[in-house]
Amino acid sequence: MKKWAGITMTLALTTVVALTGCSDKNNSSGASDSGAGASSPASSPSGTTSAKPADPVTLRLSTWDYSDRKTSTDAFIAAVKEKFNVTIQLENVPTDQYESMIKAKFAAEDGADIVNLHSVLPGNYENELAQRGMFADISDVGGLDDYLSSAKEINTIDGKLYTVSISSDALGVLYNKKVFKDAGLAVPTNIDEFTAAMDKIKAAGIAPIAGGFKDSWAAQIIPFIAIAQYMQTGDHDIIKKLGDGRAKYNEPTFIKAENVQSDWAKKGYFQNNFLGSDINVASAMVGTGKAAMLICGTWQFKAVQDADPAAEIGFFALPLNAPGEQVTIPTASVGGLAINAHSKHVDVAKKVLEYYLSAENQTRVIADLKGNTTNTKVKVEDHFLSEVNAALTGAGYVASHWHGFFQAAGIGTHFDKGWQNVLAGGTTNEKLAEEADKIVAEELTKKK
Amino acid sequence: MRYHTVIRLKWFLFVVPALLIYLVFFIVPSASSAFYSLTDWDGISYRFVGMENYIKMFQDDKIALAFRNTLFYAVGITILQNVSGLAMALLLDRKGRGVSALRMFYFMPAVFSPLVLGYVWGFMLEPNIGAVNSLLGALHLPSLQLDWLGNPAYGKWMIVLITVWQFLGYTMVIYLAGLQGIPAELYEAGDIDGAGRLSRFRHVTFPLIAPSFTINILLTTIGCLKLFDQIFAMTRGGPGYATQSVATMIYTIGFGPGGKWGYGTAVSIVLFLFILILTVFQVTILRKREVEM
Repeated sequence: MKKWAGITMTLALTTVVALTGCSDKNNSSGASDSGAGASSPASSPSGTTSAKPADPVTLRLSTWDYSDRKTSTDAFIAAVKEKFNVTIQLENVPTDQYESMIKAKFAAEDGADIVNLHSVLPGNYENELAQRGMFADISDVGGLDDYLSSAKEINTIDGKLYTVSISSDALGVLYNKKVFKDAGLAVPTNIDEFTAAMDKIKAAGIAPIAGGFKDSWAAQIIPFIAIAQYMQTGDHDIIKKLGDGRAKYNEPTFIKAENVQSDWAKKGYFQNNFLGSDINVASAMVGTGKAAMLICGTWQFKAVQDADPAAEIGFFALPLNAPGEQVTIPTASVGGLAINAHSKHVDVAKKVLEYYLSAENQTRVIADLKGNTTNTKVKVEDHFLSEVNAALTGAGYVASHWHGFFQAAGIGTHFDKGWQNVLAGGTTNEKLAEEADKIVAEELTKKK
Repeated sequence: MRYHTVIRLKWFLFVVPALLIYLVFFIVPSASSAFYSLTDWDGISYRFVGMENYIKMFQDDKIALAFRNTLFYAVGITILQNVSGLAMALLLDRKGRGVSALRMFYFMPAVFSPLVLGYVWGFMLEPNIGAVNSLLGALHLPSLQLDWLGNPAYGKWMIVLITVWQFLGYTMVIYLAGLQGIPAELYEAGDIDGAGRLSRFRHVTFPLIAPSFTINILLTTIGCLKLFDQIFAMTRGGPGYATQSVATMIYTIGFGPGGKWGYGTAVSIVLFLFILILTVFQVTILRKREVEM
């Protein structure tokens, strides 16, 4: 009898332990998960001025960019705690693992309450998640009128708004002003001047461009800019056309755009051993004057400046234009926060989102991001941002960058790893373009 | 009869928790993997595509490269790790001051996570600010300042060497156990017969450590065929696909942007079969030369 009691006890304990493990999945909202916590802030009249709710609430927030926005994120978390008694439990995931993490979490019904998105443009996995009802419609969140309509339009599907793009980053040249000054160089305005500047810097024993190509995404930036200059300038719809088969990748203009980076590598315009250095090392090289320029998005400014806070870092458009032509600058829309439609605290999350989108919070975010805010009430005085804005104002065309949007699944990775592979001598730009056309054709056949 | 059935059932109950864990964490995922390998699952939705993933895989240059790289890692690491592990075991199979400390010293890297050590080596081998090239610069050896991880030719060898460095001690310990199980009388008999050092090793030591040899070769080969952490931390499979193993390729396909989880699952099924066939082959060959003591 005692034996049976022991066995029963063992099994019972095993079952309890197993069930406890399983139950964690559903307990997403932390300490006090009561309904009261959810309803209190929702009933408050205004997100930024409301009194604290009766019960504390914990919301999980998934993002990939904490390191780029540490100051503003910490301030946001503190303010949300102070204003709404809401604890933000941050889940920061490396960029390259973010997509799979979000997919897996939502498939397991364990998505965070608030999720950072790139956008819900077609071609993004976020678009598919939104279409499947994973994100809540945030059209009723206060303060949306302060945002440019374009920041909302690209995130709207069938009249439902899923996120607001908080800023737009420009892709161009972050440069060390001292290196330019010492070499007696002015900001180049066309490809001839730019090439001459690179030759002069190289002759002075400094790497003209720092390449952080160990990160495969960093090998995309120059091709993105070249695609914008050579293709998007003449045909603003070319990205969509490449995605739906009306245009081909394997044609001379696309190959010309791809060749810019590989030609510069052959000419020695990047530092030695550029495939072994990641983007942070490359950024630090520019900050410390070991290299003159970093061709990247404005989001990389902080990493460059942090290498030497005394360094003067400026920005100009990468002038791939021929003399007499106007320069095109591609921009990358910076995503925003979306709300998990299945969160137990959708209303609380909306209040938190309202505060996130407020001018008070966005002023801090933009100061971190060095991007162009889409909130009309945010004013950031910053010399670097002024140069970015001047470049954008002076550009002939400001394009949305090619990033696999509107494209077949997997085409982003195809070029991401592919352009790195070209630099390593593992493939050619022509072969990459040819394979891309095959991927598009396969996808179109599937859709039929 | 009924009593015996109850007794059997009672013992079966003890197996149930382990069986449940095995079922939930191994059998079900394996079975579902087989199913998903026949779909175009992207992590969100899927469509049945039959054998399309398998057909595509055999036409994919990148997958072929990943298999070639995996074989390179498996052969390179298995040979180097076993030769050096055995040499180290022979050197440390003695009594004396500092021998235990040396054994611990060589075994220590195996205790750490390969991922952590991979990142540490990644920083050290960074070509522009890394410790290795800085040291070579300080020694006025600029010609040796190489792109250790960014150059595909060096990158693959670095992965091999660092993996060998980390698990050398592990192999050594298994050989040491084998060496210490050899009766001293056999060596004494060899001495009486006038056997030299090489002869003793060839005719006594090597045949009698065959079980250690078998287990070491098997563990190293299987580990190398699944090699992931070191590559992920040091080169991320790059530049391009130059250092990808099958395991990192599965990760890139499945978990990279625009993840093709169905395709990645199909590659993992093929990797499983590849390991299974190779292991059965190895066991069959290696068992034949084991000597009963």
